[in-house]
Amino acid sequence: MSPHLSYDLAHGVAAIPQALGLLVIMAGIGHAAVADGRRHRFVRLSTAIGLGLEFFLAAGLIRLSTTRTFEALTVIVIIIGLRRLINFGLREAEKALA
Amino acid sequence: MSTGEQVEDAVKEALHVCIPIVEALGAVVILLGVAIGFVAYVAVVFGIRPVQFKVIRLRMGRFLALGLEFQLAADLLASAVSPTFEQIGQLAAIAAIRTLLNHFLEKEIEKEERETRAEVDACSIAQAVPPRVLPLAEAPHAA
Repeated sequence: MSPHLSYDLAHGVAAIPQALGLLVIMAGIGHAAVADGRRHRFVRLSTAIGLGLEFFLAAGLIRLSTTRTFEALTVIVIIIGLRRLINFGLREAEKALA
Repeated sequence: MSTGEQVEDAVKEALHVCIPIVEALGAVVILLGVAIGFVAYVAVVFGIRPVQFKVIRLRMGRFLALGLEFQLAADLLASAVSPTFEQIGQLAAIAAIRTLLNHFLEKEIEKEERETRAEVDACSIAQAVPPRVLPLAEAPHAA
């Protein structure tokens, strides 16, 4: 018997941050659409994507407790890489706006 | 069955109860961070509370790092009941990668905290020091 959390429970719980992340990204797209200027639009969109990725990371970490595979770990590493990339892009955009 | 084996079995049973609890605690911490982050995001979007997105991400990142710490603890406990070398090896690899992830997350949080603090300091200095008004003779282009 595996001593870990139930697979269904962890995946069910992980669906919450995943759905919220999707909602944040969709709201960010809407928020960016009403922004004035290309740069502001870019900043709003990339911030929303960055925040959405944070929610996806949370979902991945919850799922990782039951899915102990290297694939699941790779997905999380990719998400962290994307976060870094978006952070870098945001910093550059902020510099350009300043 | 000897006393040693009985104690060993009791420890294994206790760990089978403890591990899912520690994992669930980690999931609860992560979910709490998610809820706090989402509420803060909604407050920003609807203009209820003007907080920088960076601050929301930092706050969430701290919860994620703490949740990961709980999961690492569960991995460590699980290593005590893993009977085969293969399972222990797999656990060790996953624990090592989790430790790395935690390290990177913490480094990122520290970096962003430093930047946010520097921005706040710069703003407070700009607000605290009133602009120096030069007398007419000192002012450039006065002549």
